[in-house]
Amino acid sequence: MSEMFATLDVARSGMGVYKTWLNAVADNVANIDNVTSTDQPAFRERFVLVQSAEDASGAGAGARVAGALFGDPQGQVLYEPNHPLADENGMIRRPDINLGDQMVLVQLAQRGYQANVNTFERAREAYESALSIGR
Amino acid sequence: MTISPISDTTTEVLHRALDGLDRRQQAIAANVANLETPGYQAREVSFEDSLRSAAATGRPGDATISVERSLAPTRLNGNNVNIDFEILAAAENALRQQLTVQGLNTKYQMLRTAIGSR
Repeated sequence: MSEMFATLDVARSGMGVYKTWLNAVADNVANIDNVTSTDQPAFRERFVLVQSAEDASGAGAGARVAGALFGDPQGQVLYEPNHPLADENGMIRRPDINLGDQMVLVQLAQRGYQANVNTFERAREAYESALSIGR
Repeated sequence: MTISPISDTTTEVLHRALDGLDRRQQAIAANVANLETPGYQAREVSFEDSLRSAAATGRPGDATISVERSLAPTRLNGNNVNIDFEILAAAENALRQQLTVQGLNTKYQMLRTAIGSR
């Protein structure tokens, strides 16, 4: 991390975290209707695991993606006998993802990203004014 | 304590204030970056009181910048970052920074006038 413009790095870390979260939610929505046969696992919802990062100043070094967690491979077993993937009982498997939940998460991630862009801009302006000292 | 004409108490206080404001800006950025991080507690930077008393004794370099955890109530995920507060604090902090820079520039301008260069 560069000491000189530390705040820009902090804001960038936040933008990275929220972008990763947006990617995960987009992936969940993209795969929300995936159908698998009952002997295969369903698409697993993705969850992003985030931790705060620390630095020596105590003011904090931002956030970082610590990993991903996955939802239930059981999904929902549904009765759709006309589906080509249906088993002998007429059952298929769909992921257990709620579109409403994903839409809320996408809003949270988007607003979080925007808030970090805002702090990035503020920090940039502050550094620019600091660079004018003594002119 | 020797008083240099270039670096006197005024510039020292302004310099120290810029340090504190810079640290606060970083803390605000970290709080916003951790807006949804479970268990994260917002950071708050304070230096004004310490700088005021240090300036009163004529030794602004003794002022300390302290970082504390916010005691605001936490949400269900253990996080207590308040986005409205952070955005307002960022705006106010940026204005304070500009004011401090303006103060330094005015001071240097006076020095230039005294030196006689324009």
